[in-house]
Amino acid sequence: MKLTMNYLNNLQRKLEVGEESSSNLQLQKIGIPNCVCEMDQTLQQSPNAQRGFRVQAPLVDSVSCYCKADSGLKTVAEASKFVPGSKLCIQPDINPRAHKTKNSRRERSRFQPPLLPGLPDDLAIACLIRVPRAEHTKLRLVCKRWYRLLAGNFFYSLRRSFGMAEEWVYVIKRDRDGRISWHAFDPMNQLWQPLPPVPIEYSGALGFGCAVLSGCHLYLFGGKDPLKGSMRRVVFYSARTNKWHRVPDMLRKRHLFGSCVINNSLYVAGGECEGIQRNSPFCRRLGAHREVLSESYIPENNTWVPISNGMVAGWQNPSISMNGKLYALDCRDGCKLRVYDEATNSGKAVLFSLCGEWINSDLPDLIPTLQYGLLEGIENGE
Amino acid sequence: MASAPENEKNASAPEKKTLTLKSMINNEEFVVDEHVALQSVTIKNMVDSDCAGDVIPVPTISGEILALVIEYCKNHANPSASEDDLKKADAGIVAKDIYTLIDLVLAANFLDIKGLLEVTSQKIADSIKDLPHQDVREIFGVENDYTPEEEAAVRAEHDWAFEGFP
Repeated sequence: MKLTMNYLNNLQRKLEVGEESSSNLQLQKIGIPNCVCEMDQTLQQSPNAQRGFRVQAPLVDSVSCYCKADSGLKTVAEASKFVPGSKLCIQPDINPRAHKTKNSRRERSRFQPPLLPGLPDDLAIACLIRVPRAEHTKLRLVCKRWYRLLAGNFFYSLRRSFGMAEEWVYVIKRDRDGRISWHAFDPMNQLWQPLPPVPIEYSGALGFGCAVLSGCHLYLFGGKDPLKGSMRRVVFYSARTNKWHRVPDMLRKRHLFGSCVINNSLYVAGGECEGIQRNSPFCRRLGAHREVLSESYIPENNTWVPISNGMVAGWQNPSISMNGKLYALDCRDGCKLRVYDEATNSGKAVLFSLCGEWINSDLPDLIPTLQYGLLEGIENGE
Repeated sequence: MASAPENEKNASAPEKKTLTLKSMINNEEFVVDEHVALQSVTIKNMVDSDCAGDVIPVPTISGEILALVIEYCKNHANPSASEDDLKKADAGIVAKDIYTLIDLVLAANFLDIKGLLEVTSQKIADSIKDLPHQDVREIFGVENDYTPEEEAAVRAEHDWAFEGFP
């Protein structure tokens, strides 16, 4: 009984919506811009308002036209024959098939095979996100739907929000011939996995930068090719696709520079520029071994822009950003540390001496990371 | 539907309250202490909003599954149970075949028992983890819609991951 009453209430609500959309329509027909105040006026004048119907914002989608229902409506029971199958619409501007696309989309998804037979997809995903990352390549092999699930952001942002994201350590290795390769270390299973070979221009590069952006992209940028000299090249490895991709080159060639990531933007500063400089009048003007313009890269915009604030002036030493602060070595032998606090945005540098009293504090822990800069945490997730 | 005076009478009664859960699939009935049954948020909401009668019908869950669910709730309603005991008991409950596990996930979801949903979906994930992809398809009944060429291409994307580290 309660159920029936609910149904009737809903019906009532649908009718109210129908009324509103028809008065809306009148507005459009007489050319009044569809803004709120004018609509209110019309509603006040509408016969339904006089009849004391409650006029309210549509609670359900009001694309469909129920306008026929309000013409001869006397009782809720009478209306029921109009609402579910209101086929004819006397308003010519309204497309009675407005819901068609939505329905067919629903129809299509109904015919899609379930991710896990027997379970609705949300529960299937709740199971699949618990499979450890090391097995994700296998999940992609099961079927196309699983492949698509694992290629999208949704799966990994769910893993992150449920605290299941697993971080792997990415390590760079240089063999005796100077060839470099990347390897991923899964700390949970104590397993090493090689990455696909780095793009050819980086296979023997020196003094390039590396950084992780967007949680799952490992960038290599700049550096010096032993034969061709400094590079503008930028590539990244995506942990999702297990492939190397290329993005726009930096504005300037450089190697042995400083770099850091703050708020998912990559900052590159200083460094040296040498080698064949035919294409770079800027470098020729400055001459080799001089400071190079600072620039930053925001993955969303996929462009490099020059920057010239205090943070990066003259900054070319190994650096790391932590808790919104940028720490950079201030001299080659690592005896001083420059700290830039983004909050003050003044670029004012504070110098720490890393001798004596600092030895036992946690600050010197930064130094191995800064000096080698080879270890990067990278995650498959968002 | 329970009338309000009846509920008031129950609330004032000193003895332990029990609820009867009835599987609508095979009409099996289970009498459980209220505090055990209330671990299900669905049942709790029904009781809180006075919608629960003497017998609470549980649609779509068979008696066999309901018994497992109640076993889980009993274990977790016991305040003296240690963490280790609970883990062992949970492991025992989910040590079932895949069909039972899937039914358990559905039941845990319907009855809104967060802990049970976690252990059951984790168990399914663990069994997927331990199987090669061909067996995952076979055991879970997932249709392989790859052509052999497509499958080879997906495998090639991750070729590097199949090599050992020198």
